[in-house]
Amino acid sequence: MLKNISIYLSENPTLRYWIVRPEWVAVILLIISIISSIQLSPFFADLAFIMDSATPYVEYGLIAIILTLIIISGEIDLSIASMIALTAVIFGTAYNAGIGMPMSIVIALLSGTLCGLFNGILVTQLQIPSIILTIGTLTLYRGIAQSLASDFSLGGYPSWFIGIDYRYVGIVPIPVIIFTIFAIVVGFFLSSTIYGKQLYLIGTNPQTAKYSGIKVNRIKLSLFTLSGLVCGIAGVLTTSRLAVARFNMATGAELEIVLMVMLGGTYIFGGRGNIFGTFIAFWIVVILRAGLNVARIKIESQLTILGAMLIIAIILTNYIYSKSQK
Amino acid sequence: MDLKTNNIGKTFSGVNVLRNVDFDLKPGEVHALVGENGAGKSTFVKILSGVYTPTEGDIFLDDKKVNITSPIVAQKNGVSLIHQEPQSFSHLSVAENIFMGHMDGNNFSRVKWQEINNKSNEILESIGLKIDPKIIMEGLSIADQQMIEIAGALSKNSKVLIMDEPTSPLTPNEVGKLFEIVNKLKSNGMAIIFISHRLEEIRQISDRVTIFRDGDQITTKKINEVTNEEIIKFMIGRNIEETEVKDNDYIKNDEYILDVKNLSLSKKFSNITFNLKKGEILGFAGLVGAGRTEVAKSIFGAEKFDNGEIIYNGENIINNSPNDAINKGFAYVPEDRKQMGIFGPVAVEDNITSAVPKDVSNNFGLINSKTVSTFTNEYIEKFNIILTSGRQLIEELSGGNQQKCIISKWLLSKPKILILDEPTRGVDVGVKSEMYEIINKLAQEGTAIILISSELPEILSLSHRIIVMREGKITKILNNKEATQENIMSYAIN
Repeated sequence: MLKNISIYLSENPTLRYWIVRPEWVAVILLIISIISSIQLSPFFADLAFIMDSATPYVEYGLIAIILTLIIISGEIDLSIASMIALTAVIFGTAYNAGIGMPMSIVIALLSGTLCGLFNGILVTQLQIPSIILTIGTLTLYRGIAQSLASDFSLGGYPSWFIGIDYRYVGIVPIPVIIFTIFAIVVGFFLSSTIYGKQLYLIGTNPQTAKYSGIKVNRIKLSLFTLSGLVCGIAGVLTTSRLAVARFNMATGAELEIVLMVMLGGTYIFGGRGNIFGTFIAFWIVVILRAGLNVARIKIESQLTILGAMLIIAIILTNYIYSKSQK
Repeated sequence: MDLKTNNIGKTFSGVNVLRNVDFDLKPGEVHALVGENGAGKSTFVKILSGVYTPTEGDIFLDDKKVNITSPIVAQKNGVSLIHQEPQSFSHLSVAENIFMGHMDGNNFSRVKWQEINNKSNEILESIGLKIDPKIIMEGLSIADQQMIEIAGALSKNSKVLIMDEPTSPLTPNEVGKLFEIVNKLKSNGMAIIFISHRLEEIRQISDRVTIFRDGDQITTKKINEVTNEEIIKFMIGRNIEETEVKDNDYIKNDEYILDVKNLSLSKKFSNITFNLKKGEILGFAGLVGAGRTEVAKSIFGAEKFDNGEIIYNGENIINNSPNDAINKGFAYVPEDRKQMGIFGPVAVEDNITSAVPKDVSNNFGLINSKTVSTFTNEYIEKFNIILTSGRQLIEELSGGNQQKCIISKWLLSKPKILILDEPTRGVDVGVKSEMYEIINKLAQEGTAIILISSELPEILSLSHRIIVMREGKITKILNNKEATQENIMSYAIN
């Protein structure tokens, strides 16, 4: 039966293109987690509750969307969480030095961009594998944040700046709106423009891409730089939500962000994946985390469950890709 | 050992790739298998050597029925496969490679080095090879590695040796050496199956030949009872006409589009000087490693060069990247199709349009999928590419159809200069002649073509002029009329 289906699909590439896609795994997992959460607590039938639960994860979600592009093009950026902390600390330091809010935000975004650019230059010019290089800058950027802020919490912001997660349009918090719009724009870019198409080609075979005249290095450099910029935005958003900036903000967040991308069906070796999957995976993480909190499952055990889910998602994704390749 | 098969067949997920093979092989015989790619000869030897199990039919060794369920079972029964690319452990010694998998230990499982080295020495000497068994594999030539793989088969007391295109990575000299060894084994009673695309070699070494086509065993003949033309006819099921170099209007003029002067890159090539007319096919002949591909890559901007000038349409240019070169009107079909030519798990239409992003998108970068499929369908029809639809993944196509897709991709960029690096490697005879038609037609339309090929008949039947390279230098530029396989070879070698 399974064999007949796979033969039928290999004779109908268009149908296969739509059916054999790993993001359906994410959709099914989302439906399962929604149903089981509603069993746990009636709160989950309330959309406003889910929206509120989502706000703390928006910062990760924004970065997960850019990380999806980076992984599709065959690279990875693990310095993301450290860039959140570093830009937040630079923002706090700048504001406390008295240069004013708008200028402090500009400096935070600029420093994020520079961090990303630095990653990109080393990866493309010195041809260092990004997984190794960004483990290095993960430590470096966190280290710079620590020497800037020591163990202090940098606070003292005006009240209009604090608590962006409590501003709503209807029942939807502003961060969730930002995230959704960002996902739609980047998703459209990836699926419908020639630049998006080229990311897939680079990730599938960088050599062929080079020989086809695709500017592989320039594109990768832009992606790493963009990753830095978005981490800067996340750094400012996090500071607004927490009202303080500390060097140890978002510790370990790189793993949760990678989890969102993987859960969404993006292939770790590059060339496949999409934003829709990452978007769905974001909501899986939100609902699971909230559901586990409501069920009074300790943070420590939550990690076990998320880890198990990630492994299941990776096994299923690999299985689906191995089927669609043959 | 006597090997016989009765009615062997193989089916992969519903597709019948091999049918009714009744084959026999005698001790002291070299039996050649020929056929186009996909004809079934590789599937057949994989069945004999235990890589695949047959869906039907029986195998007999010395009239005893055997079930060869894995390569290990095959080896225990005395059947060994010599791979096209030697499969060696490059950081281990020659002796370790020979005895890999059946090294006997002493009581404490310690390897008996003395014994293994001595035995290796004996085996190597028996096939006339002077290699110290204690040296490390790395650094030995492909030919030597292949001989060591044969020695490994001998150490297992193999009685049947299957050689899958052993000569394709070898130089003519090394082929001669290999054949000496094959003859020696043959006189000792070894039964040998020999796969090759080169009919001259088959004629030289084998006693009988079996021809496969589309999964069928067409016929088995004694080699001296069949001509090359007949073999080709059996292989493709029709006659192939000799192509002759086609003149065109462009090359009668002296309109040079490319002028390369003293191009050099240290350790790769030096003082490369040649010119190229519109509509001309310029062949590059030479041995593997003569520097032809490196010159092509430097012109295309994929690699740098140290000195020299490239004059294109009267202007001095440097291509800093392939992107640069493509914008100026260059195109390069690389020799390594899998690594540099295709995006494997990607749709054919995305492969075909990958070098012309601007032609399939608007000013904002939005892809026009209608244009993508129009372009794709145009070339599917023009070149008779066999597939189910443009959305099919290119890696699912046969080698020949993949190559047609790559040529289509570059023709879409409307090149003025097309560099073809081994365009017919791994492509079967039918597609090959289609490819020659395409190349000739492009030249007639005024495209200047650089054709790098290691197949002399191909170079001779297509090129207006032939450049012969050896060790990074041009040793001779020949006109087609004065060129023969013999004089090209003599300039390529010394």
